[in-house]
Order: sequence, then C-alpha cells, then structure tokens
Amino acid sequence: MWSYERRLQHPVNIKTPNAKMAKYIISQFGGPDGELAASMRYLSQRYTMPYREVAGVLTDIGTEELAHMEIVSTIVHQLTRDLTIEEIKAQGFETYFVDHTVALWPQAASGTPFSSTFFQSKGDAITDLHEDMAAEQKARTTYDNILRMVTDEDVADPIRFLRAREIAHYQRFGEALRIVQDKLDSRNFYAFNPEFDRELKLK
Amino acid sequence: MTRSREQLMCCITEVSFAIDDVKLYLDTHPCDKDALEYYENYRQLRNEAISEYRDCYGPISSYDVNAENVWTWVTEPWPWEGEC
Repeated sequence: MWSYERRLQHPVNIKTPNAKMAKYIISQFGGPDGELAASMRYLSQRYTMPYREVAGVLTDIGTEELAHMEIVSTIVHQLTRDLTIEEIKAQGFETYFVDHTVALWPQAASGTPFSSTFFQSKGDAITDLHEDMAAEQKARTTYDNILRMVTDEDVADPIRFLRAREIAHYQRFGEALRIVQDKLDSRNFYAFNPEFDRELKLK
Repeated sequence: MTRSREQLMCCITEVSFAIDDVKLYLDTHPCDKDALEYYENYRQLRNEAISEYRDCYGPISSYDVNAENVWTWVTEPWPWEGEC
C-alpha cells in the first residue's frame, strides 16, 4: 500500500503565473515521457520481476515518480492560478481552459491525452530494463528541452532537480540490468526470458 | 530552541532526500556497509525532525496525527499551495 506525506520532495514556490510555460511543462505530467507514465511503467513491471533487488528498484523508483508527478503538477498549478480570462487568452491557454478550467488533467504538450500506450510492461526482465533505461534518458532530454525554454528561476530550480533524478535512476536501472545479466546463463545471455521460463531463472 | 516551520521543513526535505537517494543505491548494493551506516544516520535525523514538526506545526503523515481537539490533517496548507 502507499501512504501520503504532506510535503513535496523538492520545494516549488512560483511567484509569477505564466500559462505559456504551463502549456509545455504539463507534458511531464501526462505526456509520453512524463512522470505518470514512468510511475505506472515501473509499478506494473515489478510483479513478475524474478529478482528481489530489481523488484525493489522498480518499487522505489516507481514510488519516487509519483512524488515527481506531484512536483510537475504543482508547477503547472502555480503557473496557472490567479490568472484573468484576458491573461488566459493572451497566453494561449484557452484551448485547455475550455475543457478543464485550471484543473490538472494528464496530457502531452500537444494536447494528446495520457495513454498506457506510452509505456510497456513486457514480462521480460532484459526487455523491461532496457525500456526503463531509455525512458529515463527520454525524460532527461524532455527536461533539457524545458530548461531551454524556461525563463523563470522559480520554475527552473525544481525542473533541474527532476532532471538530475532521471540521471540517478538511469544509473540504478543500469545496475539492475547488470544484476539480471549476472544471474542469467552466460552461454544464453539474452535469448531466454527469466520471468516466464522459470526453470532457466538461475545459473 | 524551536526551529521555525520553514527551517524544519527544509531540514525534513534534505534528510528525506538523502534517504530517497541512498535507498535506491541500497536496492542494488544491499551489503554496502558505508551506505547502511549513512541510511541509519539520516533515518534518525528524519524521525526527530518529523516528530518536532508534528508537535509544532502539524502532521506530515495521516498515521501520525495528534488527534486531541481537531483533525489537523486538513487544517494546514497542502504542499502544492506553496510557501510551506
């Protein structure tokens, strides 16, 4: 089960609303490389992961991604509160506003709704861990792109924190992949699936 | 000496992050003595800070509410409101 802590993993205190920035930052909430997809990917993959250390990595990173989803959502919320209708129209936010007012709804910057097709849960340890490492890099690239466009230090600071976590997670998934490979038969490094072919699980 | 709400929340953020980070490292290095010691040190600091915050400014967890007079879980600002 999960329990909520009444705090952000990294503080967010934005003084100046700016719906233009919110329009693209929301992609890291509900977009293809966003935090919601990240969390659902790892938390879905863990049940069939045959190695306890690796299931631990998936559980703990999947949980941290929920905290990152909260940080991104908080950034979008603070960038869009206290706006007048004139500001919403002038900042190009009216297409979102008409459907959601200023509530949070998971979508990509393009307006594409969140979808579980953004991630895989394949039931193969090698396949899934490669997906996970790629996902961390894709999210890091997205944060780099956001940092190229953000002009407000109050926004850039938590985005830089989130970017750094993608790098730490990539490292941990790399170690998880090494653990899986060490436990596979060295003559059959990639060919079989330890999540299904159970008798081949251990050396 | 009582720490201010901001000082205490800042401390909780820092010590909790130290644990968030080393926890992932320990998942893939469960026998690393230095990392285990690091975890234990920050775990104690975090427990102290969380208890102090609860007693002075309200609960961080709904398992840890001081439920004497009022349900303080819902009377304090939520994290996304900012300035907390």
